[in-house]
Amino acid sequence: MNLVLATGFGFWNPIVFILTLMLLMIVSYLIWRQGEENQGEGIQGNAFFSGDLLMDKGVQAQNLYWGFTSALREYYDWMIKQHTGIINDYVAWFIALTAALLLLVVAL
Amino acid sequence: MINSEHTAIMLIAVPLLGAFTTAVFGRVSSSLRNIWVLAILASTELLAVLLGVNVLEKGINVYALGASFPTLTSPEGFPVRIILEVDAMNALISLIACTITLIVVVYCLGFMRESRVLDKAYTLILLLLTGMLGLTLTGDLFNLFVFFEVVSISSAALIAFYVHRGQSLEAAFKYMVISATGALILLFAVAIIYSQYNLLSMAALAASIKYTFLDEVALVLLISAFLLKAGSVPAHMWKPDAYGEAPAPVAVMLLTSALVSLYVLFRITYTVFNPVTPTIGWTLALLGVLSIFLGVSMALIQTKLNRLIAYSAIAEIGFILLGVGSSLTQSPHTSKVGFNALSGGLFHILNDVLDLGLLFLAAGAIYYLTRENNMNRLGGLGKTHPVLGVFFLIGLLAVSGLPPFNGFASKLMIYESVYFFNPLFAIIGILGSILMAAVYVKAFYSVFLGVFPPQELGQIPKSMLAAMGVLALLILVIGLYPATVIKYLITPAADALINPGDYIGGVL
Amino acid sequence: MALKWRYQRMLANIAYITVVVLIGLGLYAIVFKQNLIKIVMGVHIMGSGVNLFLISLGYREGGVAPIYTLAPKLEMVLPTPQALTLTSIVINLAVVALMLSFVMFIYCRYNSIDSQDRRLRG
Repeated sequence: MNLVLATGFGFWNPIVFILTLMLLMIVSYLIWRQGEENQGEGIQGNAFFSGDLLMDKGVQAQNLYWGFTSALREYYDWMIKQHTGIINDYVAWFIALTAALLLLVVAL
Repeated sequence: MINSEHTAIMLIAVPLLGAFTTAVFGRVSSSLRNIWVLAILASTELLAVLLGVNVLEKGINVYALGASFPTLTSPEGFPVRIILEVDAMNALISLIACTITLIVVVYCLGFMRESRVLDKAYTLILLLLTGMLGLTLTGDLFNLFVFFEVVSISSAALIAFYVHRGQSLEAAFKYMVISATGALILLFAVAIIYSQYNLLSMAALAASIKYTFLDEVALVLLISAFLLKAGSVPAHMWKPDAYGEAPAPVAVMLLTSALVSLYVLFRITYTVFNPVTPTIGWTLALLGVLSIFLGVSMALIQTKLNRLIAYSAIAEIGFILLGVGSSLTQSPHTSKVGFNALSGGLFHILNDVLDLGLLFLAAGAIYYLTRENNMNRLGGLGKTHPVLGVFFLIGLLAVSGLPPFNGFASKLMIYESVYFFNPLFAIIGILGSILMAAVYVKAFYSVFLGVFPPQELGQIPKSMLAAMGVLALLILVIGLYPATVIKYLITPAADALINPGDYIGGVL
Repeated sequence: MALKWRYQRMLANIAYITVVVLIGLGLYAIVFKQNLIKIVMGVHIMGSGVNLFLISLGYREGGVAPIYTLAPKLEMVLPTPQALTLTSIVINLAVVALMLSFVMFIYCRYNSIDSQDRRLRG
């Protein structure tokens, strides 16, 4: 079986990757074992959650990547506005795609 | 042993027969019906394998319907034939379609156990398979339209499986309107082509195409119709609705039909039209990049699991379009890089359906256990169902293109060769891949980790676990032996696609 | 003579003009009408336009029906587009029937057939 995948510029060999990964994991396990047990028990504080006290429900799916989505708020607002969910708009977008392709391919 | 001469037509006829006899067997008993459906699908799978082996050994396989041999014409010169033409590319796609349907039906045995309309569901699934196989194997443009509509009708009816829910009906209606419009545009394009050449056979058309103004219009209409069916940006909006509201196994079937329509798109651009200008290639690559970016960025803010996977499916379609589109910008006969981009794109078709299929099936299992689709109200499943968590994790790592899974191999091929054509596109692709990992980390975190103490949950039926296990196994095997898969499956397919001479020579 | 020729020429083209009008009307209905039943009607009108296009492609002036065994040695209209149109009409019928049944069920669940009253957002 040919294990090496030539990709034109380089190659990819999953077996070598897995062996390296296992080696690294063994090394990290050995380093981890050097540590002391029971370190830090009883000194943890409450989890910090964006300045708020952690809610009872925990971190929900909609809270994840809050920073990312609020940084891109304008993009997301615009995007959600485009996704109206009205069937007329779906067909209109399809016609727009066809028209754009016609302009690009036939006119150029 | 089956006569290999008739394999191509049997591949369409067997599931069609199975579709309409399923209801009869369902009247007798439900276990008999299950055995019958599985037998039909197993024989279809066997036929697909036989056809693939036959094509790899003997070259192109042509089957003429309505004539004793493919080149027969009437005395006046009308071609009196409809042709099924199978080369390595079609054989690969039909094998994928058969395998996924078999896995999906095994999954359905557990997932839809309590449903009372299973006769009809199996009929529609087999009909959808018939449509996909017809779309794959046919060498006739009008047949493309017919099977396109078979796929549309059966999948719209399957999307409305939960017929008591208004949302499912709404999604089905939207899907039906948009694919009916696409199909009529497709038929219009076929009529334009027919008006010029009096031909419907794809091979004969490829031999006589003249790139007139009307040809280009027809090509654009065909491309946009199949892009619509595949769900590329900006005609992607039906996808989250349909995938999100359909039952998970049906979503996998829809995903497969999207990939089949991508194949038809590539067949039309490469074999039939074989465009001389690079504009079409750049356009497809641009649409691919847009799909990647929009798909992952919109997936990031979804809270429903199925809709999240649906948006990432748009992004995965974008990767395929990016790879194949950039190879279309150059003549891939001469360029090693273009050939690599094409092989990467075709390899990604296989990987996409396996990875996203596994994720959809895992999402379906989560729904089966909790009757809940909203990730805000899920959590802690990793403690009670660790096997499901492992399956989801495998799908997650594979779809985000992390080594050593299969998604990495195809994405690596796409990045490296696309970087040669346009570095910006490759960088956006890599960024999209990273964001994809973020998207699925969110999904994994909120479903399997989380703090909710899970209520009393049942067990996952064995058939569902078996279906997901087979997909996970395939992902691992392809991830470990990508070079073998490339050599025996993908390279012959890419060769068949870039050499229209063989396809034409099989008929004329 | 010339007038008659021009008249016939216009008659030959009127089919294609009708095709454009029908497809345009259908697309207009799908994009701008908010009543779901009108959207379905738009799909059907568009389908009729495409069918008319197919039929008029196969038309030959003075041609006879393409039945090989009985036909005199005259020009025949093309048989293939007629077969295609027949298939396409049947498919269109199935599509429209399926869509109308969806509309019926949507009305039962939502009490509305306005495309703006949707619960799914793309």
